[in-house]
Amino acid sequence: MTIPHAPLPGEPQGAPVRDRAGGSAVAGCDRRSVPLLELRGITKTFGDVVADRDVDLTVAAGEIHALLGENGAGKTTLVRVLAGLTHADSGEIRWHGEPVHVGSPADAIRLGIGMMHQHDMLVSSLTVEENFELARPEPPLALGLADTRSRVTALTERYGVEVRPDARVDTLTVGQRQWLNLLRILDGRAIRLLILDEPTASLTQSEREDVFRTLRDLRAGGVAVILIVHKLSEVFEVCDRATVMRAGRVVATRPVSETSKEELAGLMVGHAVDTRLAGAPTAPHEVILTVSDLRTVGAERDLAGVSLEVHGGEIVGLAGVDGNGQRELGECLAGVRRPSAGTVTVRGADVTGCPPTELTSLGVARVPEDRHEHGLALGLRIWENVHLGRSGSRHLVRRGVMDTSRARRLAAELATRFDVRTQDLERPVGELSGGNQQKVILARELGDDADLVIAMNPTRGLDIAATQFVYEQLMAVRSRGGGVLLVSFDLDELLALCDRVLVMSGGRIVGEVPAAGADRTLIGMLMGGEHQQVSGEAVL
Amino acid sequence: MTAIAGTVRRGDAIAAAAVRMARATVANGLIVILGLLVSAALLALTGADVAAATRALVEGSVGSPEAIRQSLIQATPILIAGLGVSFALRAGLVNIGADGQLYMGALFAVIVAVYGPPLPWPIAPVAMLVAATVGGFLWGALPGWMRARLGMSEVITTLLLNFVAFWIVSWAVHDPLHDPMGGGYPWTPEVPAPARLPVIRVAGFFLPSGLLLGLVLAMAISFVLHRTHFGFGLRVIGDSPQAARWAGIDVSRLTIAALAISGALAGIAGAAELAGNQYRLSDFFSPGFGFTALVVALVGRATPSGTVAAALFFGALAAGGGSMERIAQVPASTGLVVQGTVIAILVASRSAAARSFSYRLRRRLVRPDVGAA
Ligand SMILES: Nc1ncnc2c1ncn2[C@@H]1O[C@H](COP(=O)(O)OP(=O)(O)OP(=O)(O)O)[C@@H](O)[C@H]1O
Ligand SMILES: [Mg+2]
Repeated sequence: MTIPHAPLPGEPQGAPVRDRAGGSAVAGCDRRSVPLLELRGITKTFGDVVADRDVDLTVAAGEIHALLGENGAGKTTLVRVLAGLTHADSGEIRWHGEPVHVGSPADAIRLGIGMMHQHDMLVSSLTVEENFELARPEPPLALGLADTRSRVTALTERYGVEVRPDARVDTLTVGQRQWLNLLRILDGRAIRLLILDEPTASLTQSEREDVFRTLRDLRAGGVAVILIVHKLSEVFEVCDRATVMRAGRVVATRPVSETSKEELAGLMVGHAVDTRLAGAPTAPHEVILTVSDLRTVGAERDLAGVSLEVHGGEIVGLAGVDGNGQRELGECLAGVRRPSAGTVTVRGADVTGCPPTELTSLGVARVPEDRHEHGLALGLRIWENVHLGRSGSRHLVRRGVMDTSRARRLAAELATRFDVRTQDLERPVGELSGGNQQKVILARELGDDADLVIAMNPTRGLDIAATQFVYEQLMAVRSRGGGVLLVSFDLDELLALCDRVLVMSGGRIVGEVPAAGADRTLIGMLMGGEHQQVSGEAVL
Repeated sequence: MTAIAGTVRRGDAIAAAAVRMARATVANGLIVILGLLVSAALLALTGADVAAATRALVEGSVGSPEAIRQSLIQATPILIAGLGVSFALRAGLVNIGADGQLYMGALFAVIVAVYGPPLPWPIAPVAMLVAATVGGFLWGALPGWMRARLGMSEVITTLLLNFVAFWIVSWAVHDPLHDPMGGGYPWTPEVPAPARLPVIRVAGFFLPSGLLLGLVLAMAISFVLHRTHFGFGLRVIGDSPQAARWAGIDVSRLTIAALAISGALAGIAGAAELAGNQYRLSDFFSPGFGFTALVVALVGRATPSGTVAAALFFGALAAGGGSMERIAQVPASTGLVVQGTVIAILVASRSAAARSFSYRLRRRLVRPDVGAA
């Protein structure tokens, strides 16, 4: 797995961090012995919460620097300070050794700092080129769309992204949107430091490799990259050094060539993490979910007759390249999209086109793909979000009046059980760190003993321990006889967790593979739509 | 730094909320003072006697029990209609039609009071309020329905329905409801005495009962928003209609309900003004109550308590503006200047630019050396 990396030229091995960039004559950085970026003693508090405490960080030109840490460790807050989106309470930013003041995003852009956010910053109702137009540092009075279109086309061609400049952003897949977020930063600016906050959380394997290739290209051109990721394998794939944060502090910085996954994981959580899954074989149960010949019209990628079954006591994976109908299937199963034909039954009851509340009362839990748009009301309190759509089924409402003290108590219990890190459940959920927001959704959906779980990328943005916890929860559903349909772009996750994996392509299920001893090449070919040739081997 | 959720004591949360509220109150108070200072400067530029004008403003708004009564009377309709606008805002809906809903409420109320069977107190004012509720409810439900079922923006429809309501009332007071003994003015006969909302005397002060009604309504709205399932749904659709849809909340139904209730409150404001102050419906009944209500709701950040505070402030400004004209020979519209200045400062103070400015300021004060870099 580990890709050995060449140390930066002239770097003394194992020297203290402060000296590391010293003598690195990499790409265009001719100021001797001065790192590109140096953070000294950055502290940032939100009320009583200390997000970052006295953080020091050094990043050299031409290095990819991983920033690691548990959910809520303060990674996003730190890079937001760098990008001028928020202001540190104290501390200093040095750029080429000079103290600089980054008071606004414009200041950051002037320095050549570009940031790709943890959450999508595109305007959904606008087209691709209009979004590029919006991102220009100094927008002209008139929109120069013709000019923008050629720039967008050039960029997409250069990076091999298949997107039409006049496509509306809300018709794009998560992966495509992610690419646009990145290209928008690279568009026409001299980037010196690129910050990526969990860029790979929802990308497929091949999309991720494309992004990493781009990062390596940028590194070769002398650009510094700060990469926030949760998957340690990615650190070893592209990064040169890794800084680990815990509870707002930097605990260590290590050259990637001198560390191991185990060491980094230990630094992150403060103890060793057991990442084994105990999935005892369960006896086959009755069918819980039956989808037969499900079709839609008018969606981005219409379902063209999807049929599948999920039994009690099994986890069924759904693999596929993003944009092949997974989202639409998820929407149909969540009750927010009405199929044009076909049926969905849950334990024999026909629930085709049933509203979400009815599905909830049947014990169907769903983790939506887009936590910001669909999963949470960001301005509402944390405890309120824990009951969103479930206050009825949890009997928190009597004659229209909500028992708020019981609701608060129950929410506190669930938040503790699902390890939502916060001091105050009365705060808006939007103030939580990305991973903790995801935990709020999981606490809501998995907190009641669900019979059937439809989970779309449920571990997106979660740290190692939290990911492990979600796996355990899904396993628990399985072992108590419930069924899970797990949609994921992460093949490792699917193969580790599922009993069998269905592959989706072009709006239909093109093959099924038992997870034990699965042939990755076969799955890859199925995902690529080559089911004609291989369908004979696949168990259909 | 992070504690586990369950271990946090409620007391801490309440204390934190109290601190936040106190801070907001101080901040808003400073903004009001700043607004008054800027207005005074503008006034001085026109060559007016600022000291006399200020005295008149203060005396005319809070200087005597009678001045306070005037301020509270002025505050009543904008408070109740402002609560209506706030309510819709919480569901993410911008109701610019409070003025029209207020007119419709007053129209329904005057029909019941003047043309209905004679009723004794307190049945008569209650009947008026009920009628006004119905009128405003229908006039708010209509744009709600257009938004939910036809996808028409409520901003446009509520705005345009103002004109429709106004012309219906104008026609009514000129023709079918016209008071032939009214001295030729286009207005209806007076609401009979048993139907009027009395001014209650408490400890030497006069409190219009319409205002008390407004305070009760504010508490009721607070309860609905925060303690009921319905209010929870409203706040979810106000925050994220998409999340609401995924949670199985009936967005269409709640949209109609929110605007209908918003309209009903504006209608009640019309009845309160009719039965508590003017007694006659005319086509100059509202000097823009519905629009002041919008301002009051925005300044009060769409919370019931904020709306109460803002309505009292703007009520006092209206009363004080009148006395400035009478005593200091300053045009009453100076009150509007103060109003506009305060709004401008308030809005500006909440912008990102202001936050960035205050950051830079603090930075410069604390560490003058770094700011220059
Ligand atoms: N705007 C805000 N208001 C209040 N608290 C905040 C705000 N933004 C972040 N925090 C708090 O600061 C801490 C650090 O959050 P941050 O988003 O930096 O974490 P993170 O390391 O990026 O986590 P994740 O991996 O989950 O994205 C958290 O406790 C979070 O709740
Ligand atoms: Mg983050």
